[in-house]
Amino acid sequence: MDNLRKRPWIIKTMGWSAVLLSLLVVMAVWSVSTGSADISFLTVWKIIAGGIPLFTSWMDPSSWTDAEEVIVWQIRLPRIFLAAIVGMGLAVAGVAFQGVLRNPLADPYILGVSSGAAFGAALVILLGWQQGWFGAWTLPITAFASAMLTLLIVYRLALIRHRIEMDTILLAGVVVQSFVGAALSFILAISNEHMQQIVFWLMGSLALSKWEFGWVVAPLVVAGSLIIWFFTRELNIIALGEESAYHVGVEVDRIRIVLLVMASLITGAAVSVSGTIGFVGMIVPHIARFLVGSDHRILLPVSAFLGASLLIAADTLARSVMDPRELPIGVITAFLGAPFFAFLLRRRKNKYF
Amino acid sequence: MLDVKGVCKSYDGNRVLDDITFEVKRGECLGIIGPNGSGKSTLIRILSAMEKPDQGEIRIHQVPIEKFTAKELARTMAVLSQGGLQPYPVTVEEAVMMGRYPYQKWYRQESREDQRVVQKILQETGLSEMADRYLDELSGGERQRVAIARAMAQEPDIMLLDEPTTFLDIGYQISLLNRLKEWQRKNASTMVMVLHDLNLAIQYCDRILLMEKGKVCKWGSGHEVIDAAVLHRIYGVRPVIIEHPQLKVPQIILQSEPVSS
Amino acid sequence: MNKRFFSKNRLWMALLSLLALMILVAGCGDQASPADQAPAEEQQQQQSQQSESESQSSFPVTITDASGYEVVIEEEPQRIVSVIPSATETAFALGLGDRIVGVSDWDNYPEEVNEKEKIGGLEINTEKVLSLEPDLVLAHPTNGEAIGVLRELGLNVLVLDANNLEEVYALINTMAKATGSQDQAAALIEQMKQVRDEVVKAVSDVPQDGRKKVWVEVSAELYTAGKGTFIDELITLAGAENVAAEVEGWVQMSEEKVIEKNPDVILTTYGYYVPDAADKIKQREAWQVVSAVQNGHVYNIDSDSVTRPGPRLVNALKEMAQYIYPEQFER
Repeated sequence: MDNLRKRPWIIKTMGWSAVLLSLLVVMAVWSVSTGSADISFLTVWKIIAGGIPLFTSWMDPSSWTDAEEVIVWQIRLPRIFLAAIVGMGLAVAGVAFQGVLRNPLADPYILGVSSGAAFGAALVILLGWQQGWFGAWTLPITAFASAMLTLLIVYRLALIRHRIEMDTILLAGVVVQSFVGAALSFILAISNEHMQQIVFWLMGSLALSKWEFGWVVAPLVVAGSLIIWFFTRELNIIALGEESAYHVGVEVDRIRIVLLVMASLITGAAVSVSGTIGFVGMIVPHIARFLVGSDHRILLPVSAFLGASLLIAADTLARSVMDPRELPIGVITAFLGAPFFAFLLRRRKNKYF
Repeated sequence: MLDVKGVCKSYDGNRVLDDITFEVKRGECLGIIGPNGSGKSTLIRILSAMEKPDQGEIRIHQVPIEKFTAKELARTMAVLSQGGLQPYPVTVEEAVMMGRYPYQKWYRQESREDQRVVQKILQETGLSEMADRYLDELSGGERQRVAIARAMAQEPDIMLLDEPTTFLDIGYQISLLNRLKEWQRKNASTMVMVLHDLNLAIQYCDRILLMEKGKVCKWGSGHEVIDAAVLHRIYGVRPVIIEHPQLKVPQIILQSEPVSS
Repeated sequence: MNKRFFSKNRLWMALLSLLALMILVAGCGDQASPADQAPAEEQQQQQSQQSESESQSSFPVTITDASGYEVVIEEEPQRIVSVIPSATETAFALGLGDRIVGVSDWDNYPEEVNEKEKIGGLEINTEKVLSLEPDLVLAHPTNGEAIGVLRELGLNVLVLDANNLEEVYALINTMAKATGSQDQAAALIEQMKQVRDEVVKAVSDVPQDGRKKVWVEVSAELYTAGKGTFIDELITLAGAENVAAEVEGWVQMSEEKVIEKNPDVILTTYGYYVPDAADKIKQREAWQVVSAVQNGHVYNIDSDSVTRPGPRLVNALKEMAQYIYPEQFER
């Protein structure tokens, strides 16, 4: 206990995690009880309890319809699960990118991972390969693969004399992104009837989520986040200056590469199932900093929980604000994110975020 | 302790360091002086393994420097670079704790030993009362003190300092150098520092290395190195050299106009 | 960090978020209103179109078109360019196929369009249009800026639009007046009305409470056709109920809403570019509770005939009605 007292960050992390975990639960409860189908709060929870083996025997399945059960278990819950995973992944990747590049405007898409994924997805849609070699997985797999390919190109471009300068990699990201963006515009121009589908994908959406999407992406996101978390001490040291970090024994170059690759991996996985949902990856780390300060060891888990909560909230709004219409979730995240960012901009007391 | 033998370094064909050879014994303090562009900073970068020399080698405890892992090197040698610490919002205590990084395994958090060392150093450097303040609230001079405390927390055998007194007023300069000397004496450590101020270098260092155009011009005690003719050649000024009344070491007084001879 | 400074800013933050939300909600409201007003305006225009076309005048004729522009046609057009597929279809149905010299990239019906010159798709190639030297260009309001550009180049552009069957009849009459094919128009409209009446009669004995619920899927992302679309009108004419009737225009519906509505029949319009579209719907895990999926009533229908304001609409009506109430047509 004495040892704990001397490490305030652990207590702070646990405290905030508890608070934000509760927020996450509240968001999930609100989300699962909200929707265009008219199902009462009580029924929703009876259905959920009915699906959990321990409680099944207590519940009377005749008090709800099959459709209601499907809506809760196969539409709302997988969607909430995926929103949490994607939100967490984007937020964690945002913390990593901002920390490694020491740039408060960095977001998970800064190295062109998203445009790579978008290009892959658009190509699959254009060629009508949605049922290609991997069945329903063709699109996510292709999007992920092309995201990683883009990262590889950016990385290769920035690799000069066995070293990667952060300025160079940012520029390489910009260059590759504009090239891939042009290719994407070309696909859009010749896409005819597929255009709507491609645009839909580009705007990002969690509609039509399946449990499998969440189960496949979750291990990647969670494992990647844990690996990044192991390097948060180094991120703190790097924040005080790259050279001085090197002098206390931090292998700055190697750690930066590991973190960039991990963050891109997470981003690629998230984008491949949800499309490019903007703002979350950039905003959430700033909100978290506003709440808990700049210590990456605390910042990372807090951002993860916050990102998950925020995306669940945004998705719930996306499907309920204009019920029964669906809005693109990117519209919601931008609407919530931009004013908040404006506020942070005004509040910022120095140039270090 | 630290052996430098025949180190050469060129950038794009320009020879920046040419056959640099010297050694620093345990407990010794070496001052590196020389005009701008004489290769001091490059030498520090090579000594701290940030860069590799084209030729020659550097040994610490008889072991070639490239054999050290990053953490081993950080445990053996602390470097205070010119960049200093960025005003990032972490507390002074956390910043000093970062000096214990080379002693920590990737999965382990700070140990009791780390805590003890950090508390001791905070006390010794007079930072205890500001331990909970954030770096971005401190002045440049205060941050420099934190940087030195962090370097001390590495418990190194060798401390490498690149112009540690730049941007500090004379009060800070003297107290900082006194503190470093005190620390060096207590721990019997070795120090190598690049200094712009020749007088401070002569006062605080046991030996002086004077560099000129990438070469070692002179290497020895203050009396051996300070020579009006040589300083005129290298710096282009004609200094008056007098003896320090208490320390009995040579000191330099600059003149605004060249003395007409 | 000063405490008051903080709380003041938190307040600002709350206000800003609220503002953002209000704009969002207001934006939604605004979006709906022009759509509400549109049909009324359209009807007015329609009436004027109709009254003019009734007078069987020979050339020159003056027509106020759907863009509100007075189009003066000096003599019977011999070289027609259609930049919108629906107009092409109508023109062919009026027997003007030989006079058409250029069509859009989207054109695919009737087959003869494949032999016509193409003048571009999303972006109209004005140079190409000019080089064909048309004396009449048929267009649609969605052609947007290109209409003005073509007019400035001295071309006679007739903008045609229709949002329901009645308006389609008017559209046919307007085109007929502009091209001197009134007799063919009368026959065509007569024929269309016949098919329409036949369908309406076939489903007339479906009781009000026995009407089937139909979900029309325009894309796999659950875009559908709400009120104000041909699809909605055709479903209603076919004696069925559009699941998306509560929304306006082309919208993306939430999946749970569709499942809750439990449609009896599902019609997809994207089968022509997504292979096995109907089968894929039947395979959706969450949709196994939907009665249309349980009973296998999932069908592909032709997208073009239900979306293009042209003579094929009534064929689409018949096709849809036969899918929805096969038993009514067996007798």
